[in-house]
Amino acid sequence: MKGSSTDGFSSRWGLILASLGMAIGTGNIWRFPRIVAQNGGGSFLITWIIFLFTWSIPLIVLEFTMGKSARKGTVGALGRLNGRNWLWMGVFVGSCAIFIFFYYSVVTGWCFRFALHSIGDLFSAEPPPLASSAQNGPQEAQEAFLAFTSGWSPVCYLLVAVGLGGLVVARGVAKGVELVSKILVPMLFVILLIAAIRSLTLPGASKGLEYLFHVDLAALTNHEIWIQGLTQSAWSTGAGWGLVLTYASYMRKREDVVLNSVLTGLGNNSASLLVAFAIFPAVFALAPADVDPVNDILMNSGPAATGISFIWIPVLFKSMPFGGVFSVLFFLALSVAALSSLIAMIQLGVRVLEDAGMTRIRATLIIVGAGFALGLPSALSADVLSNQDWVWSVGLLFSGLFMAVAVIRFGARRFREKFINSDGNDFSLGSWFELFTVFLIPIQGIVLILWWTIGSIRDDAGGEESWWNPIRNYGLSTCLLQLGLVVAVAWIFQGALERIFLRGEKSIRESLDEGERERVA
Amino acid sequence: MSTGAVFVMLFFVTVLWGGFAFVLSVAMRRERQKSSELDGGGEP
Repeated sequence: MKGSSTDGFSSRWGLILASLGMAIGTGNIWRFPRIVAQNGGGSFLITWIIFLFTWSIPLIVLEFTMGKSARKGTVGALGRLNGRNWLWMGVFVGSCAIFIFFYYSVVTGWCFRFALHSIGDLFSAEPPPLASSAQNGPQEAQEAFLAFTSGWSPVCYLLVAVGLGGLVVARGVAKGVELVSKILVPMLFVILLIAAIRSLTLPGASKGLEYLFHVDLAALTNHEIWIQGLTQSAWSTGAGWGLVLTYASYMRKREDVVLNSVLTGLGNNSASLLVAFAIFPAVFALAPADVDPVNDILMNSGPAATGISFIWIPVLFKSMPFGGVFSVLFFLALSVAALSSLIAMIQLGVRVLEDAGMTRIRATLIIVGAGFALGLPSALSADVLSNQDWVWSVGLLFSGLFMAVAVIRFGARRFREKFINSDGNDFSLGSWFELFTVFLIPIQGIVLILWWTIGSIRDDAGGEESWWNPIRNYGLSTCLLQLGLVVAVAWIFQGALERIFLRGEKSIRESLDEGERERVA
Repeated sequence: MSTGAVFVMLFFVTVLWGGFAFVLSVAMRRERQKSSELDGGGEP
């Protein structure tokens, strides 16, 4: 299987750090504490860790293996595995990550802006007013946030985000992605560690830990907590996004996939736990007396779910000694996490265009240009950003399911024996792994999609707008319309995709089938 | 903090951080073995 690029990761350590940088994003710092608080602390953590092992890590193993064996991006890899009729699936998987890139770059820009402003505040002669009460602080912060997002500033920061990400990717995998990951990921862990130690040493920090690790076994009978555990695990680890597949297409041929997959999953959740150690004790210790730390702070979504990160954290940090320094560290961590994930998304798009025969520089320019142009609507309208977040987050559930379906079509046993347990692997998987591929991943994916479909229709029942109206922010129809359009376009251009990405090559499945038939004959 | 919460905290720290450190050490040991096998005249 020939690769279309000679560039690649120079070391295993580089690959692991790049995979961790891809997985650890704003979802770990921004979404995780809120979801933990909304779902009862320790009870939620139990479901979250179960799905790490039943959904995320098995899917990451499949992605690593697909990328390593096909040496192509999402479109080429799925086509190469099963043939031309599966190219549309590769387009769908890649499109989900690319459409997320368009609005994620806006969010990355927000993180940069807050990091820069917190640094500016540190050196400012006239420090901003302290949060004198529960009412003033967050309200001022929310107004400042809304003033920022309603102006043109997000466009400038969007340009900086896509430009910076593009610059890294344009330098190549070894000299760009790997080198930068070796700096950013350890830096992120060090910052989070410092923040967690400071947070844990605040008076009253133990109340936060008590809430975080309190398990209510009765809460585990609520199906919602299981669904939230699965969605957090699916979205946070990057499993099924096609990003791991993309990085794996650049890994060395004698590289392991199983241990690297386990490290990516465990490392991502370890970072989330570190974030929880930094956030929960600080919120409980620093919350003003007239504010409920759980209901008013941790569970407060705010505009575009920005409540805890962009509104409360700056307010809380201002009320403690050296709070400015910790505000800088927090937003620096958020920026680093966002940038390392953004780089992976740009790399995904660039890999697909490279497979189509483009040079890396030209491919990067196209992806960065598209990122800026198509990120503009999200930069200028929070409604567009929320809509895109809603649609493509759901798309990711299909994306993960499609990965498993592609492996089932190829043959789960054949996939495991030929590719997972191949040369260079450190740890061989037994036939038990096929249970994950054939049953557990598809069942979890179907349950999630059914829950989401029924929930969308139920939430709209009795409302003013019907679930089938596609011109609205949330709802089933807007998702089906946008996801369906991607599938339809990919299906229509399947012939062209075959000429570009397969160039007359037989799929791996067809070649193996022929070989087996000849042996029998 | 209650004893139950301390136990749950230790469980998560052991599984996630301990698990990560353990798997990382195994992976790095295997990597060193592979490198020394290659240096010893194996596959170029």
